[in-house]
Formats: sequence, C-alpha cells, structure tokens
Amino acid sequence: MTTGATECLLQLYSDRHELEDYQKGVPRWCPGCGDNAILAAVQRLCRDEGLRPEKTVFVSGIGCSSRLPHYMRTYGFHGIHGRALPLAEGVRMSRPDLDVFVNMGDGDCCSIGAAHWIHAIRYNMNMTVMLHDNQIYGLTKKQASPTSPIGLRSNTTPGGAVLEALNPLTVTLGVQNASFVAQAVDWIPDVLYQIVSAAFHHRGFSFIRIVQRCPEWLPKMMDPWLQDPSRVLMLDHEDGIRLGPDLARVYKNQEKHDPSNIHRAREIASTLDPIPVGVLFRNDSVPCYEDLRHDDRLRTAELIGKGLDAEFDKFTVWPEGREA
Amino acid sequence: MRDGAPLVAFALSGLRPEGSPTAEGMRPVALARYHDLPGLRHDLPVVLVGASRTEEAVRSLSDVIDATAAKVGANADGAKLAVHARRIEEAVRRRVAAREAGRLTELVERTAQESEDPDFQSSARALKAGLVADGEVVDAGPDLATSLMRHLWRTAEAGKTRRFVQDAERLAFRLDGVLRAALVHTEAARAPDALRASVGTAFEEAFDFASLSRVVASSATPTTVSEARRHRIEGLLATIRGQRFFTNATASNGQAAHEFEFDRVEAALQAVRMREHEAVVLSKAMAMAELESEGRYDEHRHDPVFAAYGHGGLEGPDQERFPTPFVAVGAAAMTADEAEALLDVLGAGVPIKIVVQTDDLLGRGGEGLRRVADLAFAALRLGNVFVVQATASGLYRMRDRLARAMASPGPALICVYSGGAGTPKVAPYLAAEAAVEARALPVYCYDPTAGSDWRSRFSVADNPHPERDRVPHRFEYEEPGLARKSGEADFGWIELVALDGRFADSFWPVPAAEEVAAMVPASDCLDHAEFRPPDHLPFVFLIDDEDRLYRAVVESRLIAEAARCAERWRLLRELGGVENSHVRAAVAERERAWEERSHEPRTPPKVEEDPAEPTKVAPIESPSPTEPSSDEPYIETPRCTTCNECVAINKRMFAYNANNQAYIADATAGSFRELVEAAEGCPVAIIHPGKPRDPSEEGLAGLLERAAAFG
Repeated sequence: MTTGATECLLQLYSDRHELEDYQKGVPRWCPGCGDNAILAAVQRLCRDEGLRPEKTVFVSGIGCSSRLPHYMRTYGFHGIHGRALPLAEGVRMSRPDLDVFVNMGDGDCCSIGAAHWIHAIRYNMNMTVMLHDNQIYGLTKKQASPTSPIGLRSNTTPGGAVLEALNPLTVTLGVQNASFVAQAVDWIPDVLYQIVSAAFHHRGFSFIRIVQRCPEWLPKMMDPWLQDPSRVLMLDHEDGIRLGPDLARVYKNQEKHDPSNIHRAREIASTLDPIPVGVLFRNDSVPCYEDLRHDDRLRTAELIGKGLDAEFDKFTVWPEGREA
Repeated sequence: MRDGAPLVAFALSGLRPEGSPTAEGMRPVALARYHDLPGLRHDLPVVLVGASRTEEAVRSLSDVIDATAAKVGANADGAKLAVHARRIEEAVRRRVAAREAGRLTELVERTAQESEDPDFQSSARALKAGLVADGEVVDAGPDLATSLMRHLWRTAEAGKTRRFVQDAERLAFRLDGVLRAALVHTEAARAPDALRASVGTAFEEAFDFASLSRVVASSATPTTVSEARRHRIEGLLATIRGQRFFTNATASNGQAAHEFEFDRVEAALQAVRMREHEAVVLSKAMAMAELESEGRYDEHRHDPVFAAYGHGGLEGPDQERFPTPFVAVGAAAMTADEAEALLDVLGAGVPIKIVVQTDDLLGRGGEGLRRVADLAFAALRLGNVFVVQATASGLYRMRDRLARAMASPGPALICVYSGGAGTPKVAPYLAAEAAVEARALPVYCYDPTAGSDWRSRFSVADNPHPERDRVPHRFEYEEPGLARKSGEADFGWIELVALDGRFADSFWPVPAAEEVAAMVPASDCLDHAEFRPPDHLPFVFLIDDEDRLYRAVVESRLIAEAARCAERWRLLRELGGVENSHVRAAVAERERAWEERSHEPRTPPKVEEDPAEPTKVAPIESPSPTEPSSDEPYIETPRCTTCNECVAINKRMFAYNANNQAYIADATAGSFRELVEAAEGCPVAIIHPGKPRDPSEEGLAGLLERAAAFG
C-alpha cells in the first residue's frame, strides 16, 4: 500500500514511547491491590501499541479503581459515580481519533452505573472497558457491592449478604449487541495483558471483567483460587488468547473455546468455580453506534450554536405574535 | 441452374454485367429478427444516474423500469402496472431511438401526456413518482460513449471532490482553532473592547471592562504559538482556501475552479503541465496542515523535508487526490501526430482519461477501424494504461470495467465504435454489435490494477463465443412449397460489410433458381485456402426488404480481408488466454508424457536391504523456567502483579523490568531480613529468599525459619 507524504512523515518521525512515558505518580493503592496489576497491563499495552499519550484517554467513575487515570500520563477523566460510560461515550462520539479506555469498579459499574452499563453494551461503541471487580466497596471501607458473594459479612451486611452475587459476565452476554466479553484475574499478569490487548484490538465495546483481590478488606477471599491453579479454567483459542508453555504447565485446566460460540460462552460465564479466564465471546460484525451515527459535518461554533438554538426554541415561551 | 461464368468473373474481379443485382437494401440473415429494435427489450438505452458510486451510476432502462414496477406495484394493482410499465418502457425507448433527449422522469411524463387512456396515465404518473433512479436517458449512437464515459468520470471526480473538501474543511477548522486559541493570549484579545465584544450586549453595562482588562492582562500566560508558526498556519489556510482544483464554495480569491474536460489531448496535457506546480503547493499545504493540526509539525525535522517536497512531481496518494483530466476526441478528426502525442502522454503515466470514438468503421478503406484498434493495441504495449476497446452496444455490459477505468488512479484509454448515426434498417446498436460479432472490433479490457500478470489484467470474455472463430446463428425459412427449413450462418467480417450499403456492389444475390453448384458458404472458403474461384464461389445468406432469402456471391477480395480480420481476432484471443497455443502445446506435451508413463511396466518400489537408520528427531521439549539454585534469592517475575510491596522495602534490591514486573536487581543491596519480609509481603508468594549471605546477620535463625516457607 502506498502512503501519502503526511503518513510517511509521521512514520518517519514517530516517537518511540517507553513505559515511563505513560507512568505518572506513585499509585496510592494498598500494597497487593489488584489495581496495580491492571495499571501495569495497560501501561504495557500503551507502550507496545505505540499509543500517543495525547491521543489516549482513560475515563473512570468513583472508587479505588477509578483512580487509575491519575497514574496514566495520558488524557484522563475522573468522573462521577456510575457515569464513566456515558462520559466515555461522549468522548468517543466527539473525538473518534482518541483511543478510549474505561476503568470502573464493581459498585461503580454494576450498581449505580448499571443502566449505563446495559445501554453501553447495546451501543457497542469502540472502547476498552475494564471492570475492576474486587467484590467490595473498598474506598468507603467495606460495604457489600452487587458482586459480593452471598454470606459476605460487611459493614452493610453484618449478618452476611443475603442475595446471590450479580454475575457481570452473564449480564453482559445477555444484552443485545454484546461484541466482546472476557474475564481475567489480576494474579496472572501475562494473561491479563493478553486479554487487555485482545480487547483493545477488537473494534467495539470490549468488556473485561477482572477478578481482583482486595488485600485490605477481603485479604483471603481469593486465596483458594490463587493457590490452586486447577481452579482457574483457561480458555485457549486462536481467536482468543494463547497460553505460553510456562503458563500452560501451571494452568493445566484448559478448554479450547471458540469465542464465536455465544451459547457455550454463556455456559462458561455461569461457571463460578473454576474461574474461567480468557475471551468468552467476540463478534466483530456488530456495528458501532458512532459509525451508525457518523456525521461528516464539522462541529463548528455555528453548527453547535444552531443546534442549541433549535433545542432551546422547543422550550421557549414566545411573546404573543412572535413564534418560532 | 444458370451459367456460372458471370458469377465467376464477379467473384474473381468484382466485374459484373450492367443491371445485375446487388445487395442494395439487403441485410445478413442473422438480423432477420431485428426489424423493429425499439420494440424489443434489450440493455439499451441506459439511464445515467446521479449516484455517489461509479458502480451505481449507469443502469439500463429495462432494469430501472422493472425495479420501479416491482416497488410501485407492491402497493397498487401490480399486474396492470406491470403491463403499463412495459408499454411505457417501449414508448421511452422509441423516443430516445428517435433522438429525443431528456431525463427519465421527463420522458415518462411526455408519454403519459400523449396517452388518452386515464388508466395508463395513472400508471405512468405512479411509475414516475416512484422511479428508483432518474437521469438522462441515452441510446446507442454517436452520443452514447462520450455521455456515458463523461458521466462515469464526473461521478468518480465528484467522489474525489467530496473527500478533498471534507479534508480541507476539517484542516481549516482545526488550524483556525489553533489561531483562535493563540489569539486569546494576545494583548488585543485582552483589551477592554475585545472583552466587551466577547460578553455581548445583554451584560454590557454590568462590567468594568477596563478593570477586567487589567486583571486578565496581569494573569495571562504568554501564547504558545510562535510568530513563525502563526505565519505558517496563515499561509497554509490561504493556500487551502484559495485552491482551484475542486469546486470551492469558500474560495477566498474569487477565482474560478480549473476546467478538466477537454476535446483535445494537447490542451489537456498543457493544462496538466501548467497546474503541476500549483498542485504541488496545494498538496504540500495539505500535508503540512495535517501535521500542524495534530501539533506535530517540527520545524527542525520537517522544514527541510517540505523544502524539497514535490521536486520530482507528485506521486501515489498525493497525486491521486487531484482531478484527472477527461478528453473525448473523434478518431476521424485525429491526425497521426495527435495519435502519437496521445500515446506519449499515456506512456508517461500522466493520469488522464481519454475516449477515442469512431462513428465509421469501414469508410475510407477502414480508416476508422484501424485508428481505434491500432491506438488501443499500441496502448496495451505500454503496460501501465487501463485500456478498453468497446462498441456502443457493449458499454452497458462492460460498465463495471469502464467504471474502474474512470476511477483508477492511472491513465485510461477507451476506444469505442459508436455504431454510427444508424439507418432506417440498421439501428446504431445493431451496427455496433455486428462489429463485435464479426470480430472486426472485438471488445477487450486491460486493467493494470487487476493483478500482476497478464491473465489477471487482460480479458476478452465480453465477446460472444470467445472460444470460436466466428459466431454462429441459426435461422429458419420456408421453401417455395412452404416446407419449413432451418439453416446456420456464421456472422463474420463479410456479413458486416454486407450490412453497409456502400458495399452493396460487392455482393451478387442469386435467386434460388439461378444458383450454381460451385457456390459454397464463405466460411468454408475461410477455413479452406484451396476453396477459390472458379471451382468455389463464396456466398453469404442475405435477406431483402420482404425477408426473402438469397445466397449472395461475394467478391474474393472480401474473403482475403475476412481472413486478415480472423487473424487479428485469433491473436487477441490468445492474449486473452482463450485457445492459447502455448497452453495447448504444454497440455499436449503433458498428455504425451502421461501416455508414455502409463505404458511403462510397473515396478515395485525398491526396498533397501540395509535400510538406513531412520533419522532420529529429538523430542520437542517445552522450555522449562530456569530455576536458580535454592541458595540464590529469585522472583518468579512473569507472575508479578506489580503491587509495589517489594520495591517499597528496598528499591535497589528489587526493581521492575521493562514490563513493570519485579526481579531481584541486586541481592547484595540489602539484608536477608528484607528478602524474607518481601517474600512474606508478596501477595502472590513469588519471592524466594534463598540462603543468607551474611552468617552474622542478626536474628538469622528466626529468619531462616520464616524463609523456609518460600523454598
């Protein structure tokens, strides 16, 4: 393929970014927090993909996980509780040239932001969405979240959580237009990186639930899975992720799962033990909302002014004899 | 049976007794069915549709009417509408055949107005309202090729214009934004009047703008846009907004856009040369603007590159974004020098689309035929030119290839025979199609963008029966006793000549009662060189005004011309991979070799008495992670979750690798205690402290006990 002068020049002088170019500050998370692993994975992805910091944006809501944009030397938007997705959709719609990442916690996404989450799946806008699921409200010091397991004692459920936990995977796979659903665990960094990378390369709403540990409030909860590799079901496929020999030797519980099979994906998603890890489902043919609503018109001040005027006019009480 | 001597003399020399019959008013028997062409559904006329894609820009009238009738008929009386639609289609076809011009909606409306049947009028209006496509309707004739090709070219160019204008507006918008952002940092923008203007009239009295100006002036940050950059951006904006290559509603200099349609190749070439520098300047401005809009223009790096930009002319996508000139020339008006210049232009790779049309194939000793055929063949040799040889009757069938020719980035040459202006007996469509069937002007396409080899690029597949020398036609007739008979007649060069009234003298129609035994079909004479007068008199089947069938003896010189025509066709066919002699020879050779092998006695495969030891393949072993001796401390780095726990204990002892995963950078940089504490604190238990280096370390016994849990 031939390229124009601009493209050639950009390639000629494209800057090579190092990991440090994406790092900012020292994370304030607790030692051993899974957020650190997720941060390391996305920084590595940015470097490996050569993402330009000024063309990359991380959007978050509220919670421990939502501090992630602070530690990225890219654009970031630390939003309000449960509203990371609408903010990211707005960014995506108005700045299609940016790579958009979203980081949410389980309370942020699955409780107060649940409605946005459902519709964001249906809109299938091109973004990489990471649900940091530690199954507890950590920032506010141990309240039960929608994904807290039944029986979990917390400050809001001193007698133990009475409801079954919400399963973010089955919910996502149940929504029309779901196009990429994966699950990772924070304690297998190489697989986490591969999944984030696969999600980034999928054009559409790439949803990753990352099971992570909260060393402060639920320090032992994930130990059984952490210490027993057979309780992790590795999904291996050429259209998903491939296990290297080192990991394959440790994680022997594997299944060859074709991510185009949504029925099997739903079955796997329902499995709580062993924890499935890998790409459960992907469908590259689902259209993206921003493509369906693409408008070639430039968003000039005049155009925006005209649109606003038209909207305001709908609610204007006009003086008698002077209607719109 | 008559005395054959005069026929022999005629066949040999063309001499004929005065008053002997000629083929005046006669036609080849293959055309017997086409007395009233507009009454027959065929793929012409075409509707030149205003589409955004070249692939959808040309549709046949029948196709549009059928699609419309299906659409409109779904909500109305479908059966009646379908019948009326056919009548409307025929009426429109007759109108355009009679050279009536107009868009399809207009022609349907006129048809409706001329009818006195209210039902028919109602159907026509419903059809008109629901037309799936509209545009100028053009039939075969002198105007078709130029109109159709120009339409395809304009459609392709409109796409380019859309893309350029979109790019230019986007870049201008963003560069304007840079300048606007810079402006707010200037003193002018902080002046009281500027502040007043920015607030608006509603609150004009609410502020003390002089004080406000002093406040903002004292806290303002200096502009980040240097003077040089501002000048550069203003220059880029002026160049982009003042460009004349594309229709430009926002042209700042008031100059009209350049013209790209020409009727002479030289004029087109001159225009291309004169605008070359202007194109380089604009292309450079677009490239620089792209970098500027991204904030990535680096004077140190880019100034030298852009100083040398375009010295060798534009290439690739930078050139392809510009309009390509379109030239339509008549072959008759073209001089030999002009033809040579045309080939020079094409050979130089100048992106230009040229249509050369002839309206007369056989006149002036076949000059029209030679001009288009020779030009097309000469352009083939250049290798980089999209070449199409076609006739008006095949343009619709070849529309996809023609669309590609107009949309392709390089030069294209379209050589066309229009079928002439037509005669009452032979419509231009028939004359054009006859030229194809006769192999006088075979249609072909050479598409240099289709692949790297000749097979991918060159095709003669659009010719009827490309595998045969001549196209056979069956016909039926009645003998005097009303007995029904059938016959077969090829349609070739001689039949094409018979279609042209100027050559009526070259044929002597012989009534059945006067036929002589020596008369043989002309095709036999082409296949057998020994079939020559006086023993063999070539004839072709002709019909007169009343469809009476004649065997018409042909002058021998036409046989020689027909043989030359057949040779040219065979050559093209070989190039097109049909009946290719190289392939035939290769296949024959393979068959012979196969035959020989199949007759050889079969021998069992030899068995080695002392078979060699089979090569031993080392089993593939999975690489195992290096496990250092238990004396040395180590970290299972691939499992590190970057929790910062260990590096917080000792930054020199523990460090992160390129993937931000921990490893032991220097085991001597800390104590055994730190190693043990790091192992205990590691949430994924991947730190192995090893053995202590310093046997005198305080509390060593307890530490060793704690370390035992980590291997």
